[in-house]
Amino acid sequence: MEQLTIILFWLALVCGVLSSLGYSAYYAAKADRWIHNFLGFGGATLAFILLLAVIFTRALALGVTNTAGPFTVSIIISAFIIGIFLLIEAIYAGRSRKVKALGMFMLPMAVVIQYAAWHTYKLTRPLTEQLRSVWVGIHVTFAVLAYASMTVALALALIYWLQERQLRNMHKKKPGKIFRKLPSLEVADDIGSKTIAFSFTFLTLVLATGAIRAEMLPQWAAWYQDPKILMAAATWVVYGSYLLVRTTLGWQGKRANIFAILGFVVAIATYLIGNSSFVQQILPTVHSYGGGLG
Amino acid sequence: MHIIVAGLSHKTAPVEIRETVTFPEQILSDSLHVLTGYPSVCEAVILSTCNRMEIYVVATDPEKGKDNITQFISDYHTLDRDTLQKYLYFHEGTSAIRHLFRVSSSLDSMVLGEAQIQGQVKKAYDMAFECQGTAAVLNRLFRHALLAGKRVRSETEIGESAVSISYAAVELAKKVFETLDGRTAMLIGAGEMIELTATHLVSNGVKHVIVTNRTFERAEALAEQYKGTAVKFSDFFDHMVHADIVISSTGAPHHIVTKDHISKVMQKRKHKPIFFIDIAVPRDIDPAVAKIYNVFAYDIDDLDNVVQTNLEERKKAAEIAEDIVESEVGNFSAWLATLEVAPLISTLRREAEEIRQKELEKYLRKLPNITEAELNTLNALTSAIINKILHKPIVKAKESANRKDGYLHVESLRYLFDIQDEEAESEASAPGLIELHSKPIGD
Repeated sequence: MEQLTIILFWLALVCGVLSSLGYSAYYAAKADRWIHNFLGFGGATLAFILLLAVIFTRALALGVTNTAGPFTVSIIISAFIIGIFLLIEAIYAGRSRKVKALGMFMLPMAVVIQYAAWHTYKLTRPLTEQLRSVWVGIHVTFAVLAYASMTVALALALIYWLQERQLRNMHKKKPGKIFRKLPSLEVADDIGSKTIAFSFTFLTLVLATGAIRAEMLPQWAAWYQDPKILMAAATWVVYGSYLLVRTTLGWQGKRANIFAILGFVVAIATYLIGNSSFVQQILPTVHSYGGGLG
Repeated sequence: MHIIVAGLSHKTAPVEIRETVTFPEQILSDSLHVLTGYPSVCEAVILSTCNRMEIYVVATDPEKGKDNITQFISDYHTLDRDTLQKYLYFHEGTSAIRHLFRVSSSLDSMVLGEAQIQGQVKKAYDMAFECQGTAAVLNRLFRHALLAGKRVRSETEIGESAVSISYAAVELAKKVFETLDGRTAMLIGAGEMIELTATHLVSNGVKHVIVTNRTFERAEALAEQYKGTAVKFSDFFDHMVHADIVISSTGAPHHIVTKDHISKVMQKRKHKPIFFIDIAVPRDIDPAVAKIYNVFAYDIDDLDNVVQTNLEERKKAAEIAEDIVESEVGNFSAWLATLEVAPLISTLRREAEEIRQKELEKYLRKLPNITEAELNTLNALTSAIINKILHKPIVKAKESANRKDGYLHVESLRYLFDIQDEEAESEASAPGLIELHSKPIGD
């Protein structure tokens, strides 16, 4: 079974790489070729399924309590990034084919995260008593969903920025690939805001489920002083601000995207607390077990 | 049979000639009947657009065919044959096929990649089809040509980007707003250029048009054209709040839309993105407006920039398109080759001979004591039967190959004997022939 996990892992990685190439070729090509679409979409779908299979076979091989470590978490992030992208592509296929360009950012990102996970493959430690709870399972799954959609939102903010820069410098810059192949500002902004609303919802649920579990444990009475939890609350505030300025001030596009980018930076900082041994020394947190699970 | 095209286009003939030699829809049916009445013309399609007039025929003989077409045009339009000959170009065979494929892919058009020609080719073909001017060859040729055109459109970016100023405005707007469906456009001024751009916007989905002009009557007239509203020039900024797209082209010597104006407008519309096109020279809109958050403003030079780049892109796309056309020409030529009568006859003979030998071998086993002389007789007898049976169909096929609708007979011969394409014949069609022959013998 463990052999199978490893085979599936590398197969998924190959599919991810092929899909990245497919989407990049779609962007770079002068003509619309079915092979690029086939490679991009097919590779991504296959990679998504294989990643889920990796999680499943690993859980079968080692038992759930032993698998819930950094490797699995990274694989789930990678799978969810691809999954969210595929969902977006499916929903927006009728409105704008150019949404495919997002794949050029998302797939390589998923591949890098998956490859980085390989280095933690051997890191298996049984879960501590406090972590053996349904609440923790939900908490981590939601956190991963939130992180994955934040990544997608960041890529969309990047696309928006590139397209706007092109549109504002029309007299200096000839319209090139960015103009032709990246989605319009409206679509980039629309998907971006929906992705962030999605992310914000799960972020809220992460905080809630975390608090519920912490309340169950008497030794964690002071959980709200934990640096990681405070940082997570800050992330929540930033993404909340994104949604707030959009709805109240009408700040679409560039101004709102400042919050999207800032939110991602804060989210990364939140992730590092408890997961990076260096940060852990400065800021000890209740979230420090089995690097990557924090 | 030979595929021939004769035509004249913007590349070979001046407009005086092009406007004389046209076949408008009303007379197309009649002219097709006249054309197919010529002795060597089997099938015909007439393609007549404002930039070209082309006649596609299938003829029994290439030289006679060309002569017939020239005669037809000069008679029909009472034109001197010699003058006409100066402007006509001819292609035949593969070159004619390629020509049609290039035309329907708009590689031969005045504006590379323009979209109309496909519809025009389809219409020309439909007309000829209805008038029974076409049969097997031109039916297949034109359907294939439309397919090639479609492939070129979908697999290259040849028709994707705008190559006119007014369309470039639409293309730019679609980079800010994904679609123009249901948007509101404001027109400042009521000139010709504004009208052209507005027409493009409306055909791309713009729902509501607000028109303002110094002379209010002209604004009203233009507004009526798009079922929009006309507003007074003195207070058009109040209405700009509702507009997503603003096009300006007035004769004003100075900026009429300034940064201050737009800042106020933007605040009122809660910073919803707005798109300005300034096609006036001198400019109506202060370029500083473009610095405001969520304001996208362009002048005529920006649009021209887009057009120039797009033209270059089309030329690049055309290179890919030529490859597609070439491969489709190959496909069609392969099919056409199967219509030739000579290879069909030799295949037919060879297959019959194969059957004869096989059957002979089979029955010889039952006659172990046969003498040399008897064997020779038997050989001669069976050969004679085969040749006699095949003689008439072969003679008829040869005859009909030179007749108007001959290839139809050739087609049916191929069908009845179940003869596949020449490349695959050795394995595929032999069993079919045995079945066909053994049945009557068995009965």
